[in-house]
Amino acid sequence: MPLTTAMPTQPNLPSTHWRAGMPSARKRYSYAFLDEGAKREIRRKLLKAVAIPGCQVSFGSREMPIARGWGTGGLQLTLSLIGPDDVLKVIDQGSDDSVNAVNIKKFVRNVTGVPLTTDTRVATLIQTRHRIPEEPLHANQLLVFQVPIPEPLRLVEPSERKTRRMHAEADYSRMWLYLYEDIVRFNEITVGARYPVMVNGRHLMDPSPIPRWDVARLNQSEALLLFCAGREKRIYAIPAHTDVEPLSFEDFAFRVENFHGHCCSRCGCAGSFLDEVIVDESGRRTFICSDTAYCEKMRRRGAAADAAQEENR
Amino acid sequence: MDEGMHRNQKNYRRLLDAMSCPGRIVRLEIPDGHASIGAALAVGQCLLDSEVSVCVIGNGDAPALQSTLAAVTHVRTAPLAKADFIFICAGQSLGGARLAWRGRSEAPEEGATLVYCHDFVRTGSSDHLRIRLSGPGIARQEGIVPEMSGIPLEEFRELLAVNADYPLGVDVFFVRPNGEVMGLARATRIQVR
Repeated sequence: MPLTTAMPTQPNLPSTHWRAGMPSARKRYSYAFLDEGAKREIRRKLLKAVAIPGCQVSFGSREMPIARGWGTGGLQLTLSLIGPDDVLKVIDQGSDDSVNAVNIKKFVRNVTGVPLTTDTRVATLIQTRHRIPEEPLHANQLLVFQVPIPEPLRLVEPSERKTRRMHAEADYSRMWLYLYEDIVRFNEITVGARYPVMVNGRHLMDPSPIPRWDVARLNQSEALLLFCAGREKRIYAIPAHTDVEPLSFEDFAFRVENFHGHCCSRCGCAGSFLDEVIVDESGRRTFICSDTAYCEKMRRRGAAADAAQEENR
Repeated sequence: MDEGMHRNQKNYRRLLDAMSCPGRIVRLEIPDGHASIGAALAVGQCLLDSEVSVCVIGNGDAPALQSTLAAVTHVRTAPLAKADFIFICAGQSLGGARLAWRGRSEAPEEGATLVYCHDFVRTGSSDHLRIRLSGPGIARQEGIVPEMSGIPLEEFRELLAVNADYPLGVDVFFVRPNGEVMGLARATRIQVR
């Protein structure tokens, strides 16, 4: 099965269908849905976000044909960046086939005509919700994160005005105190996803609800990482080769999730982030790779290696 | 219209590359029929509209660039100290960079963007060999030499002073008439040797 798909032709609709005779979505809307003024504003703000890694830049978030909180920020960034030469991949918690990912993919394809892919290495633009693809990213890729809550200090301070001042003064003492109190109470930092990170030694940043497994992979990334919260109207970014450090103490190091020796039951991979799933009514559990495209690739690779071994015998 | 729109998208992606990988040269597609100001106009078409303000300083092409930018993008003009974008039609800002708006501590992103539009090749200077750039977007810890030659050493010193209070500061594009662009983000650390 080809991993890259071209824009399908419009199906032949019966003449009584209400859409019969209407131009395609690509013709009814401007290219990439947003008007050029909206794109320009987002593009300007994105340049500033890249120039000040980890700093939240406010922008005028537009109404989109999906509800706020369903990826409108990521979608606006994607639409502002995308062009005819791009190949798009959209994932939702690692999956290429979840409802959110499929709907966003279909929408972007309808208004741009760009090819879609599930192959991380082939994609030039990847929109993601809550995961970083397992395969290493390369320098010519853009990774766009959907962000629900961009403010890492929201855990300790409800006022936006005060958090702005705290960022201005690099006053993150209350965040450090929060983590310290967590250790005192639970002997563990209980923040799972959304683990706060320090970017370029200056700005505290919310990496979106990615697991800790992925937090460590933000550091010195090869690709440009872009974050956008549509509801909260904030854009921020991490350029390639930027220092990103999760907050940790000298005597209490940052730790990623531990799968206690489990491996993926589909592909056998032991080095990827795993989802625990209940497989039957008896409550039996198994582990599978969270990144479905990676899992499929590993499974094929394993099958090909088995076949080659069989042939050699 | 589609042609201009797609050109702006491609050029923007290159500007994004330039800003995210400081010190590296990228090449813009230049619109036809604008001779020496074509490259600066390509940057303007990507980023300017009536929502932002511009100030064009320098000599030679400055009046032509200012009127063309206003006509094509409907951008507002503003004094140097208040402009969102400052186009400098010379190899040096001659103190202009120091007057640019550097943002507020709560909103450092309000700092201006400087666009130097100059044929740095003609100056023939090898000052860039004495510069080391490091920081976000630059792979080598020990830093790199900027790929674009001919930018006066004084200008790097000027930018070093303007961006001393990071995250307050300005972001810079150096644009050659042939479409070559080099970015310099305010997070970039500049060492002059």
